[in-house]
Amino acid sequence: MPDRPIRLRASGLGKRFGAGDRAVQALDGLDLEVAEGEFVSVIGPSGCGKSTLFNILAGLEEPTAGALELDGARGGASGLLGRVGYMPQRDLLMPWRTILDNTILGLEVAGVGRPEARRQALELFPAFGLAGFERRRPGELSGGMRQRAALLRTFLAGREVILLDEPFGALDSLTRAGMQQWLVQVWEEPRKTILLITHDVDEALFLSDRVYVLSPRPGRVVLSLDVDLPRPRAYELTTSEPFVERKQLLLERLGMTLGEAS
Amino acid sequence: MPARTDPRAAPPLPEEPPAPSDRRRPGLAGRVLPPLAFSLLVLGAWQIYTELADISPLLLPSPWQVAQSVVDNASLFARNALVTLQEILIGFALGSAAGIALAVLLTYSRLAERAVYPWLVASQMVPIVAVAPILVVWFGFTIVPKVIVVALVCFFPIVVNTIDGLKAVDPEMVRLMRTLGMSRPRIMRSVRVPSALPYLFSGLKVAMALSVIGAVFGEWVGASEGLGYLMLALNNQLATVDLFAAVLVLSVIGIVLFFLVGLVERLVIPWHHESRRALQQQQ
Repeated sequence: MPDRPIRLRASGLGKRFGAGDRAVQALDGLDLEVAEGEFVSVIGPSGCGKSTLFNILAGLEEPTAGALELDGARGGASGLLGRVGYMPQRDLLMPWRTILDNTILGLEVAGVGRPEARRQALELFPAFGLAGFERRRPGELSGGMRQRAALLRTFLAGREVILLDEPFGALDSLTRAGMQQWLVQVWEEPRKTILLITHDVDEALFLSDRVYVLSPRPGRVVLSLDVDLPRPRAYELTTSEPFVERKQLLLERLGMTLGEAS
Repeated sequence: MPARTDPRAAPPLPEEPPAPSDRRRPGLAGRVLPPLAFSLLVLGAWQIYTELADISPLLLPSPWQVAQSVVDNASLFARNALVTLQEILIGFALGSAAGIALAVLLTYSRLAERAVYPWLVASQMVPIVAVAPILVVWFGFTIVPKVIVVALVCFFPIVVNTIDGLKAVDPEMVRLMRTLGMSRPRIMRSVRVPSALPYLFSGLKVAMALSVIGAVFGEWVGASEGLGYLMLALNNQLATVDLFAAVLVLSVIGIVLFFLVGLVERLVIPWHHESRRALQQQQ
C-alpha cells in the first residue's frame, strides 16, 4: 500500500545474544515496514527470532544492529517503549481487577480519569463480546473471552501501532477460527495498524494485507507477500482458490511443500 | 457474508464453552456440620472411655469435667486469657510490620538481600529456648519479653513469604506494563504488591498460629500472669482438670485468631479465592 505513510520501519535489524563462540545470532539484516492502517503478519519456523523481533519493536530490547523508525523519527528501541501497543501470547490480565478495570489500564497510565476511561471501555464491550462481564474477574472467564479482554486492553491503550504475539495460540482450533473471523471484522473499523506474529499460515493470510516470511535463525525476511484478497473477508475465503495458491507459496518458502508437510 | 453497514454492530462471536458459572459453595450447614459432628464423635468417645475405664481425673479428665472447670473458673481464665491475648496481638503486629518492611527492603535492594538473608536464616537457628531467658533478664517480668518472643516467631514466615510473593510476579506482566508506559514505582504498587498479597496472607496465617505458642512460651520463662503462666502453676499443683481447661481456652483463642486472619484475607483479596474456585470448576 504505497499510498499510505509508513508508520513503523525496521531496516537491517540484527540481534546477537552473548559473545564469542557461544554467541547466538537471532536476527540478521531484517527489513520490515508497516504502513498506516495496514495489517501485517510475520510468520516463520519456530526459533526464527520472532519473539526477539517483537521485543525489539515493543521497545523492551535494544537491537545490536540496524535502525528503527516510528512515524519518520529514527531512534533506538527505547524510543518505541510505551508508544507501540503490545499484546503477548498470554492474556496477563490482573486477577485482582475486574474485566472492566483490566481493559482501562492503558488509559489510566496515560492519565485518563477512571470514570472517563470506563466510559470509553464500556462502549466497546459489546463489540468485544464482553457485555455482561464487566464486573467479573478474569478467573471467571473462558480462554477466548480473556483473550478478547486482553485485546481490548491493547486497543484502548490508544497506540496506533499494535503488536500481537500469537494472540490465539493457546486456544483450541475451533475457538481460534472463530476469533480470527471476529478479529478481521473488528479491525475493519477503525483500522488500526497491526503487526501480528504467528506460525499459523491460514491465520496470517486470512487476516493480513501483507505477510512476511522469516528464515530459520538467524531470522531475516525471505518473502514479502502482498495478500491482495478482497475485504471484508469471511472464513469461506480460506478454502477458495486464490487463498490456497497463496498458502502454497508461503508454505514453499517456509521450506515445506504440501506433499511432505507433516 | 454481506458487508456490514454498521461498524459498531458486534460481529458474530465464536462458540465457546460457557464461562464458569456461579460458584457452587457448600452452605452454612455444609461447612459447620462436618467439623461439629467429628468433634462430638471424638469428645463422646473420650467421655465414654474415661467413665468406663474409670480413669482418674489427675491422669486424664473427661471433657465434661474440663468444660465444668472452664465455667467454674471463668473469671480466672478470662483475666489471664486477656493478658496472653494482648501479648499475642502486640507481638504479632510488631513482627508482621517488621517482617513486611524488611521483605520490601530486601526485594528492592539486591545488595541488602545478599548481605542480610544469611543472618535472617541463621536467626531462625537460634533456639527461642536460649533467647527467652536472656530477654527476661534484660526486661524483667514485664510484657516486653513475651512480645519480643511472639514477634520473633512471627517474623520469619512473614519475611520469607512476602519476599517470595514480591518476586513471584510474572515477569511478562511487568514487561507488558512497561509497554503500557507504566513507571517502575507504579509497577511496584499496582502489580508487585497485589500479586504478593496471597503469599503474605499464607505467611500471616502461619505466623498467627506460631504466635500463640510463642506467647505461652514467653510466659513459661518468666511471668506472673497469663495462660502460659497459669498452665505452669496448675501443672505444679497437679490440677490436671484445670490445666486441660486452660489448654482449651488457649486453643479457642488460637483457632479464633487463625480464622480471623483468614476472614481478613477473604475481605482483602476476594479475587484470590474466586479465581481458585473458578480454576477448580474448569478442571
